[in-house]
Amino acid sequence: MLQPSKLNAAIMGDALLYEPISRSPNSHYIRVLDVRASTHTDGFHEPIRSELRIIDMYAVPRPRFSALSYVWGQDGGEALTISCGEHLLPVLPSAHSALRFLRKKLGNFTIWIDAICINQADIEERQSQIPLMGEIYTRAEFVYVWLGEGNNKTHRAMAYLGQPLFMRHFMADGTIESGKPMPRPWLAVWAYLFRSDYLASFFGRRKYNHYRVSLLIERTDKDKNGQ
Amino acid sequence: MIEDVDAVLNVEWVRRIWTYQEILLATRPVVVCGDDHVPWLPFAISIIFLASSGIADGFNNLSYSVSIHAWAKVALSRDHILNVHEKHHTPDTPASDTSRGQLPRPLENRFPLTDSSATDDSSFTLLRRYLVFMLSIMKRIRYINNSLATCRVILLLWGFILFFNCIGALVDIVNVSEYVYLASQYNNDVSSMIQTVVASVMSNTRASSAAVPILISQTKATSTSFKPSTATVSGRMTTMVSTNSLLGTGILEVLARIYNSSSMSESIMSSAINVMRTDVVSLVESCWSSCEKPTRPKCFQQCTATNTAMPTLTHLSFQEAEASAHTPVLHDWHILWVLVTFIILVMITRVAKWHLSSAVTNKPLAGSSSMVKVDLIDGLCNRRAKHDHDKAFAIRNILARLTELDLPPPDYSRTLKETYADLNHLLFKVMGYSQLLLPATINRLEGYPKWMPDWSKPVDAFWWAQSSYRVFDDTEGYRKTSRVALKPNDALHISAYKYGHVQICSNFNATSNVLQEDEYGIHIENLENFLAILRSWTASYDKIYPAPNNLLELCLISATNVPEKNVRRWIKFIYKEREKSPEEFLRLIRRYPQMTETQLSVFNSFARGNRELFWYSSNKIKYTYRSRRKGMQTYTYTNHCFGICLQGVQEGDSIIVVPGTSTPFIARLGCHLVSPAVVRGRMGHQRIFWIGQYEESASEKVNIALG
Repeated sequence: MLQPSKLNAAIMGDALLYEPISRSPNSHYIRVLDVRASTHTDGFHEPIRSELRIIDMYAVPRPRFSALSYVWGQDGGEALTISCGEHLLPVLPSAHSALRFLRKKLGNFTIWIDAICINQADIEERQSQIPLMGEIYTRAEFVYVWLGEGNNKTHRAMAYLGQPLFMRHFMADGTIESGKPMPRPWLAVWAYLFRSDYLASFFGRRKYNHYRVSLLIERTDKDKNGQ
Repeated sequence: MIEDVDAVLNVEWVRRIWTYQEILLATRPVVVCGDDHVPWLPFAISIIFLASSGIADGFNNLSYSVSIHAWAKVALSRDHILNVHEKHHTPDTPASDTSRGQLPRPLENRFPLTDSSATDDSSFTLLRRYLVFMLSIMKRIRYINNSLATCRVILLLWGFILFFNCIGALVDIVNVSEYVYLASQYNNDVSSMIQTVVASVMSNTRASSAAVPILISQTKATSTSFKPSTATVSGRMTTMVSTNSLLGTGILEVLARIYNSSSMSESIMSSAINVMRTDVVSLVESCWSSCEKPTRPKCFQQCTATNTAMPTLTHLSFQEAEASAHTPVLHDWHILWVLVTFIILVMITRVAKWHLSSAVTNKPLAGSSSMVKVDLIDGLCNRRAKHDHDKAFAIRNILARLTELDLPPPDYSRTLKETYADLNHLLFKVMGYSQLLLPATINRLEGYPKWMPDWSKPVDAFWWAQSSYRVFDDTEGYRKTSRVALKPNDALHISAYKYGHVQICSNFNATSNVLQEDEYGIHIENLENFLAILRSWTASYDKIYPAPNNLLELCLISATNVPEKNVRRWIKFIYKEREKSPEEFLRLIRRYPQMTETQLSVFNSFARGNRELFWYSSNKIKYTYRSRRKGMQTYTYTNHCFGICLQGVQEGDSIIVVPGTSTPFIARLGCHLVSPAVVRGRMGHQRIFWIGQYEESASEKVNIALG
């Protein structure tokens, strides 16, 4: 858990922001960030308003929060901030864009982000919070794996990855939601073989590899037609 | 589409060590890319599909393949950790059916279990089942594909024969059936007519006028399919009718009917009819003329002769018609046979070519990811952190969960080596030694036992890519007999199997990718090494071999960016000219710019990856077979094969197989493991080491102490 020095310095001046947190070995207190929804419907570029609060992970009823899994990225670049209570908190560009996209989709939400929710200037706190990280990710309602802002390419790819192939021959009722697998490999092989491009590959007009790739391509064509 | 998927998967996220811990421990991850949210389960299944369907290996693009396999390993490791955790903490959970969107299951039994999620409950089994499902599909498809490809010649030949047979049969059927039908009709009509005539003449010569209606009615009864005649008779017949009596008129009318009937094929039958008609007419005429006279016996004689002559005539016409029906088809068959032979030759060459290339492109599919349960090694080798200490601390939580131990909190004040030594001990406890050996051989932790890897140095993806082809299951037999012991001084004692020894190895120096005069010395040196290894390999055989295919494969997996065609051509060329001196060969190859380029990029791929080319001889392999004459026969042989290893291997080093590992190693016996090895070709194929029934006899047991 290492920290870019610039960010460190920025937060150190803002000691008021972080309430002290219990550091005993068996405590399960963490800080979470409450992000407010944007006031306008298309307020994507609105400044992010949020608040930090301390929760007990093991409290009853269970506290609801999500966690973000992301790459810190390069130190430097433009200084981005979010307003946290009455303070301005500098954040990394990748976390900032993740927060903006998540706010667009989710509205109000509670999230744990390592660079924000751990006081990086406080070495003792860091050492006591790192062992908790496993627990935090396990107890989080959702863990958002942030891969980037995306473009047309990734949009197509995500649509493809969201619908696994051969579900018709793998799940009992053909959908992934049912959770009852009933694999029928011969049916799948049948569906795979009896297609024109397989025959084409068999008679040597195309290479085998091209055929394997065509499985992927067929899928996207279907998606396009569906839309 | 591949580029699209690559844009999502080939991201920095998959190369960081902290995110590795986060995803492995997360209960319900959601993959977010811009506005697109995909829940983990379908995402993971898609990843497993991509990894197991061989699409990743279809391209010779190593980075793409690596990122797909890295994701697949994350998915499977996550699956395993969840599975272990569930088993330990909730042994008898009633499967509660709750809707999505509720809170995940708590980790301990301190909380009521009503909020467990059905989706997550089944996801770990689901994923592994999907992998098994995919592998079985791909196995079947590969099986069908291979067997169909080998049967392609037979199938095509059979198809052609069937096709032309059908055509021939069709022609036959049309001709012969038409002929037979007509001929039988004709025969029946004429003979019955003659019989009637003869009978009527015999019974009542004078009452010939009474016989005609009977005659007409009988012919009508026998030839119902013929069109009723409109009595259009030829001029010659008309004259006959006018001059002769009613009897003659009746016979000729019937003849005219048959001759003019529309179903009679003019082209086929005309010759037969012509022969027949003149004969029949002359016979009937003679019969008639004799009956006109009062001498009855002569009339009877003539008419009987007419009747007996009829079958001979029909037979004659039958033969003629058949000949005309069959001649063209028989003639075509000669051309067809030539054509079929030509096609067979073409197909044989095609299939032969296909088999050669399939050895390279049709790699076994993702065998390792199905067998290795938690692949923390992959995370440690391929993922980065800003500080080297973090590699140990980032997977600390995963190890704590797997070992159920209370691990000390991360301590940045300890030295890197101490931290790694602790980490290695933990890894040994969780996963055993087998996966540690490959990174430890490449990057050893200095000052510690030799089975401990130094995680701070990067590991060449080449070695991982090669090792992932092997199947782990087959080592089961060896595992039973192997002994592993971790001594108190941290020395690891393993029993392994020696398979052969290195005969000669050659290393290469990197040059620029174009031929330059100032690097002339290096080029000559590289060529000399390569030619020497080729010559000594050839000399180990009694007879001349074709260009070594396993050498081609090794060059291809080392130099991934060079097209297969060029490497193949170059290997053939250099093998042919192997007796030449390096200077001479360099002068020769300069005439072919493409081949020169191939040679340089192959040598450079070896040099830049710190790899060496070597060839080895196996121990004596016993092969037993049953001969019908002599009974059980045994002969022994030795395999000579090429391989790739790290630089630093010497002649005489042993090639050993350590049970449970995915690659063979090269060991200096009584010392340590020097390098991993990649061996290919007929004997280098995975089967020899693990389950080969003949090759097993070649392995001798050795003990290795890594202290």
